[in-house]
Amino acid sequence: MTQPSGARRTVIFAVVCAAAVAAVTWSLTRARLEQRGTTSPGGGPAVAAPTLASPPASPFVLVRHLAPGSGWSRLALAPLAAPDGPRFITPLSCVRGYMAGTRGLCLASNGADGRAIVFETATFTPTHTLVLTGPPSRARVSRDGRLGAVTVFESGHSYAEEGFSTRTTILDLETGTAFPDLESFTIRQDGTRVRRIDINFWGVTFIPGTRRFYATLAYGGTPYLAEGDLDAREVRVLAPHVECPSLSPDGTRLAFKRADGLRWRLWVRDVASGEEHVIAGETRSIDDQVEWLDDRHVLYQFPSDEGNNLYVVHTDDGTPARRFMGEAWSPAVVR
Amino acid sequence: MYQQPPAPLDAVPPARRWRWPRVGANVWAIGATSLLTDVSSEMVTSVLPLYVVLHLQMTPLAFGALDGLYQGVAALVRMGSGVVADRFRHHKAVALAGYGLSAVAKACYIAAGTAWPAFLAVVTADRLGKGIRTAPRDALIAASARPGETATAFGVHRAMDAAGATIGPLTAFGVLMLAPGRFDQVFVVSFAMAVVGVAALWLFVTAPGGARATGATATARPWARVLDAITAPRFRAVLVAAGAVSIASVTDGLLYLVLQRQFAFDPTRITLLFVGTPLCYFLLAGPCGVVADRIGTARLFLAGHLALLAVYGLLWMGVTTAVGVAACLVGLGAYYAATDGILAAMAALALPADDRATGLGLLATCTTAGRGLAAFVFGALWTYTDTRTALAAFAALLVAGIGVSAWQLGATRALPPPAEARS
Repeated sequence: MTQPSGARRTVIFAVVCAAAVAAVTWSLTRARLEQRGTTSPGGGPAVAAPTLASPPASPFVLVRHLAPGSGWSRLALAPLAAPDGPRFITPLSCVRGYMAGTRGLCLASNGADGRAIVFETATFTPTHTLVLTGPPSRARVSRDGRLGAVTVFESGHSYAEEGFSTRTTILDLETGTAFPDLESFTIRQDGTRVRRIDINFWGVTFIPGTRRFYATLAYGGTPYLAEGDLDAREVRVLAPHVECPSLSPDGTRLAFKRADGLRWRLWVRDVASGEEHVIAGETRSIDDQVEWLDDRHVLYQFPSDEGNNLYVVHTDDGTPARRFMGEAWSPAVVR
Repeated sequence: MYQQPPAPLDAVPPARRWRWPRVGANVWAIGATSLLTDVSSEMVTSVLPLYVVLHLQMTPLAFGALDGLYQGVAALVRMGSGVVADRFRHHKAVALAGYGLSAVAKACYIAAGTAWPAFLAVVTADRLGKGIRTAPRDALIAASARPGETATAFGVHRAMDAAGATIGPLTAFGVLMLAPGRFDQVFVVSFAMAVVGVAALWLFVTAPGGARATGATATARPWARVLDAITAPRFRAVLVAAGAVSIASVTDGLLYLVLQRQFAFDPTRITLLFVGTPLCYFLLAGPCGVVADRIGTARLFLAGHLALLAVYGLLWMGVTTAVGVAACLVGLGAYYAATDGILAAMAALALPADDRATGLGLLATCTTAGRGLAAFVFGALWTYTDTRTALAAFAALLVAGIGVSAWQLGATRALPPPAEARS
């Protein structure tokens, strides 16, 4: 490529810079307008979706609302009977939410760090705010609303490597205080104490009526299903290759994700017998801590070119998954 | 074509008082290209793990494995691009191809959307671009430097590079604050920066020595010449010296992890880790280059590794105060400033101009492999014993490495400089 000389190259460079600035300005402005709801992602004017004036009666599903408009990214409630109908939009803006009993968790983030906001479920008013050390990934609240769990990413940053780890914090939602770091708990596998530095926890699910929980515990590159006890400050390793467990409402089964090469598959495990089977009705790669719709169906998010939809699948009979609701993320079923 | 001024003009001894480094317009232009490109690439690097996990639903483990594979491919490409650049004497054209490929890749991140095979292809292209551009770019810097100021030129370049590495992640966070969750906007801004960087390279960087008289005969047997160059005693000494310390150099990511475990958990201080080191690197790179040109690149290279040794020592004793954290960050920044660009300058000075890109590519491949091995061994030691044992072992290894390095570099003084350097 020949190089222009003298004044010409200054002119060309100025034109390139101006074009770059103009393109960035246009793109960012458009993105912000889309989020404010002035335009839809397709570029046309946004159609304001009807909303509910008051929270629906239970059972309902709490989601992160992703339709363009003033409600974008807010937590919203939709009745289970009509999940794609009008929603009640709460004032809380979060990337991940969960609620049960009297308390909820709203994890807010700008992409780099985050905050965990504990809210009261009757009025959606924040009661406590905690600073998070990275972008949030998972949120769970125990059925009675007393305990909460938050998982964040802590991305590595260096010239030579790219990696990230996770940090999980369990909170007392009444007082807004954190329990001691899970990594300081006594960890046992087959009765032997595990002492490693590369331990990571993520994806907590609480066992109703107890102060115990299931979670993923990983070390040496392998994720395990683990059962923890907040009072004894102990964690017991149960089975390998289980991530993001979610306990069914009847407490008998765990739905989880398992890596299959480059992809994720959803599985179900019987708590008592340890028997596991893949969920045949969903063959796409699903990376989510699923939420149980009832004792036989799970809900999860899946982003695609069709939008940010939630899907539902039967855990056992192989019926293909179907779309549950659109423009929604991070489901939590309140019965 | 731009030619270096004849020696007598610049043979005046370096001024005794401090002055702003006079590295010439070409080095500033290459520095500007690197700054813009580093802002662009660090923006993407800092959000990529999250993007992969949140949007593409890939398993982190799979991403890690593929990442390792790409690093390996990039290391080989680095060597190949050096050979091609030397053979056809088009350092600028090859560098331009590398920067251009990475810029195009930034645009393709947006187009790839959520289809992960397309995404993997784009990541590969991005990494290949980085692999292609490094060696010919460093050869360009070496050829653009005034005689006796090679290390200063590299110092100024690395300072601008580090500035880009500091600004990049901050820009990405800024974009995500303006448009929460919109990773596509990060890619748009990154692409725009990359395009401006490529334009700066194309428009303002001249290709020194593009039409060398010896060219016709030199290209006849490129591989044989390459072999001659890299087995020449002077360059071989640099290669051995750099290799010996690289296998004792723990990557900053692992050292941050040690720091995080020792120091009470506080989010604001973690941000400090990520910005602190590149910032110190940025501040110290230029002065280190100037000093290296006065006292010799070998001495500064060894001093830089003593700084790394001091960081190991601090971590071994246990860092429990903010002052300790700051000392570690300054130590790491000083280590980078006194070793990265300085090593490139030292190698460039030990190589004949015709084989510079080849030699620099080979050197980068060796040190990358060495550091990769070090990271693996350190991680294994840490996992199966404890932090202090791992740090003590690596401190011992580093002392040995510095010893080997000092012996090798000391020996080079007795050797004649490369043939072309005399002309």
